[in-house]
Formats: sequence, C-alpha cells, structure tokens
Amino acid sequence: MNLFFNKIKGIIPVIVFILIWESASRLQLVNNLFIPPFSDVLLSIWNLALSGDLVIHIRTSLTRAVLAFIIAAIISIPLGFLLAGLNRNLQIAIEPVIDVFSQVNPFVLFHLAILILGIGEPTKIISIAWMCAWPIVFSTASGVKNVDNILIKSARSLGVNDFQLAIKVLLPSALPSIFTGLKLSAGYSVFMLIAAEMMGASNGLGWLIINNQENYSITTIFAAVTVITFLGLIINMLMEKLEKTLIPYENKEDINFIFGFFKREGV
Amino acid sequence: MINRLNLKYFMLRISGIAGIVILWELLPMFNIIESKVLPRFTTVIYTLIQMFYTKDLFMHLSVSLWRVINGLLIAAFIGISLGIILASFFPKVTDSLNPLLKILSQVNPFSLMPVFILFFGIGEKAKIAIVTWVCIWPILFNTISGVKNINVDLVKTALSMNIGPFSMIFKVILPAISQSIFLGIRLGVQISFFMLIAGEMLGASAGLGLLLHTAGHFFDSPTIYASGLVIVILGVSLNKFLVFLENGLFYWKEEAALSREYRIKKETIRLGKPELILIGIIFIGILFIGSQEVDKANILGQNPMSHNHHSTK
Repeated sequence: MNLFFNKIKGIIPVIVFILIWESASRLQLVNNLFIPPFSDVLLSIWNLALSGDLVIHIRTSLTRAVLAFIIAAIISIPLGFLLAGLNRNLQIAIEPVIDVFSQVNPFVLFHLAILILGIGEPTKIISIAWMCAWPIVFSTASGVKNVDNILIKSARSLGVNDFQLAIKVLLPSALPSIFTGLKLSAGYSVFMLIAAEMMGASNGLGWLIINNQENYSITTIFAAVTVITFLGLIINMLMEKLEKTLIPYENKEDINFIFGFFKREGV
Repeated sequence: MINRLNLKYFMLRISGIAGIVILWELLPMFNIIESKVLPRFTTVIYTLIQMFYTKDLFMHLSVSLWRVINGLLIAAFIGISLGIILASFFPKVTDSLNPLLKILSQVNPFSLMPVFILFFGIGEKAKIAIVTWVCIWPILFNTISGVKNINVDLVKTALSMNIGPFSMIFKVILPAISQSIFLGIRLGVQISFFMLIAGEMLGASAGLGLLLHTAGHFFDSPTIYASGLVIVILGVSLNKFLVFLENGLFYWKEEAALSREYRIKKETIRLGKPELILIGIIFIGILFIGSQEVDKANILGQNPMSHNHHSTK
C-alpha cells in the first residue's frame, strides 16, 4: 500500500493544479478570455483530433524534429570523438572553432539559412539540427575523455588500431554520456521545432499557435501548447526507455549489490 | 608533449579561426560565393560600426540587455524566495510538487509567447514576462536542490545557538545555497537571452532580435551578419561575465582535475565588497539607461513590418 501511495504522490499536485485551473476559470476568478477552462482546452484538442488536422500537424512537426535530430546525431558523434582527441593536432585546431561556432544562436543561423536556401523545409531542419548538435558534441567529447585509461591501455597492448579502439572500447564506455547528450538534444529538438515553425511554416504545431494568435482563438493556442508539452514528455520517456535497453551495464557501482554481498557473508 | 607555451601549439590553435576568417574574406572577394549570400568580412565589420550611427545599435543593445536584467531580477526574487520557503519549511510538499513543477517547466516557452503577447500586449511587459518565465525554472530548481543539499551540521549548529527563522534564512541558508542559486541564474540568463531574441523577432519595436528579423525580411545580408555577430558576441560576453562573477565570488572552488591535460593555474580575481558594489552600480546604470532607451524606442513608434495588426495601448 505504501509503495502504491509513493507512486501516486507525484500525480496529486498535477490533479490539484488542473482542478484549480478549471475552477478558477469557470468561476471567472481569472479572465475567461485569457485562460480558458481545462475542459474547453481538452474539447478543443478532441475537435482537432476528430477533424484529422491534429494528426497532420503532429506528423509534419515530428518528421521535421526527428529528421533534424538524426542528422545532428550522425554529424555530432564523430565530431565529438574528434574533439576528444583521437588526432591530437586536429583536436587543437578544431577546439577554438567549435567553441566559437557552438555559441552561434540558432536564430541567427535561421536567418542566414533563409538567405541562402529560402523559406522551406531545409531551413527549418538545419536550424533545429544546429541547436541539437552542440549538446551531443560536448557530451560525446566529455564521455570519450573520461574513458578509463586502463581500458585504453589494455586495448592498445592487444594491438588495436584507432578505428577498432573507437568502436570497441571508446564507444561503449562513452555511451552513457552520449545518451545524456542525446536526451538533452531530443528535448531541444522539440523546443527549436516550435520556434522554427512559428517563424516560417505553413503547417505544424508551431504554425497552429501563431496562426491562432491572429484569430485570438486562445483555446486552440492552449490546446496546441498542451499537445506540445505532452509530446515533449513522451519523447523524454521514450529516450529513457531506449537508454535502459541499449545500456544494460552501469559504470557506477551498485550500492545495493555491495550491501547484499555483505549480507550473504553474514557480516 | 605539446606544451601550452609552444609556438606550434599556438599556431595550431589559431589556425582554425584564422582559416575561417581568411575564407570569409577571400571567398566573396573572388566571387566564389556571391556577396549577396556571404558578404566580405570587412564589409560586415564596416556595417557593424555603421549600425551604431545609422540604426541606433546602442539603443537596441541596451533595450535587449535591460529586458534580460529586468526579467532576471523578477525571476530571481520570486524563484529564490519561493524556493527557500518551500524547501526549508515544507520539504515533503516540495518533494511531491516536483513532478508538477517539472511538467510546467517543460512547457515550451515559444508556445507561451503568443499567450503572453495576448495577455500583455506588444509591449515591454510581454518580453519581460517571457524572460521571467524562462528564468524562474532553473533558479527555482537549483534553489530547492541547494536547500536539500545543505550541510545539516550548519543548520544544527545555528539552531543550537537559538536563532529565529529570519536569521536562519539570511545568515545560514542563503550563504550556503548561494552557489546553487548562481548556477541557476547562469542557466536562466543563457536560455532567456536566447528566448528574448526569438520573442523580439515575433513582435517588438526595438531590440536585437528585431534588427535581425528586419534585416532578414529585406534580405540585407551585411546587416543580417552584423546583427547576428552582435547577438552572438553579446551572448558570449554575458556568459563569460557570469563565469567571471562566479569564479570571483566563490573563489574557493577547485576545478575538477582533467587527468590528461596540463593546465596552468589561472589567477582568479577575488571579488570583495568594493568590486561587488561597482558591479551593482553598473547594473543599475544599465537599468537606468535601458529604460530611457525603451522610452525613446516607444516614442519612435511601431516597427516597419509588424506581423500583428493589433492596436497597441
């Protein structure tokens, strides 16, 4: 019973929050035009879903985000390995460049991309990919840098070349760090996706928001906001499940295991 | 072993950046890339300096900075006080509130921007509200985690000397969590500066984001690059300033040892009371100048290409 209550404990404030929202709005404690009741927002989501629009918007938005994320991951992970110093000279040369480029605001890049490529899918995907790439680069580099030196030395003593070292030793060791970066980037991809869609798109969840701002249909705006938040939470959950399956090993010592060992010894 | 003071090391380090700047200058000069798409580096710098006179870059700069500082102050006030009260006096409630707060912090600030614009109109309040919303979450979370990780001995010692709740908060808790708060402030400033640029792009009468967006609208490449450069430099300087502040305030912190690199120990400037007062005066100065520029900007009127055809107050 206690375990069950512990799990539920987190949900209670959320439910209380929703109840307060609903009652405050219905009782006109906050202006009804500015904060519609939660039930109205749910109704709006339902209508959008029924008319088929919601699925289209979600699909276009998700396609952009996932594509940009994959592109960012494919480019960033090797770049992170490079930054961590497989080739020492290259690392020294690249490090200041990456320091500078990582600070470039994706919005600045967005306008530059519009200049070069015009307003279309590539522009949006490039800005989202840019925003996602840097956390992955830095977490990969830090993960590779912190690989246990003994592992590298033993591998070298067995005579591996650089490529084998990277794939068989560095990559599995650095995978937890890489995944931390990937999780962060997944969140950023949804984040930047909405921004890119708000500034130059004709469909998608971000476009839904900016379009309804002109119409003052605040219920639809709230509906889109709720859907986007929900999407972000689902993506986070999926990434954590993926992490658990791909990384069954833990680098940290398991305290429980140690205690269990002592217990068996009868200490 | 490559030593920091080695000439070869130095040459390698600047080779990347130097190469890029050289390419930036040469590629448009020989028309390998059109100068419409990539203007020459010297043109961009020249435009940048010109923007101080023709487009009143100083006003946009100070307006943006003013908004960030304002939003940060409000967020810090609310976040720190709420965090301390919640975590010190109601620890169990704080634990159960955690999922709710996490969900609320995940709400995309971009999606909230139209909501804020509808609430507050296209004025300063909306921008400051966005900065406040974005800044509150890191500050709140870091304050709460700071309070949770306070050394209990400190609290017990203070209690054994029979102090009241006010002294407890201001003399024990606040100094102990100041490092966590500062980390939260740093994260908040980074993200909120980012969001502010986006917000200014969506609807503003002044600000760096507006400069960038207008230039993009009219395909004025030198201005796009120049304002982009200003935005990036401002962001980087804000970050470096905060790191400098952090290193100066918490001078006892030791850097984590990076096993394989040889680092020369840096001399950090210790920030004492006089330096802090000077920094405080600079902040107040920015607030003052910024508010004057904001008034000037509002008098100058609407931006030339307003997306929103609403009437302003």
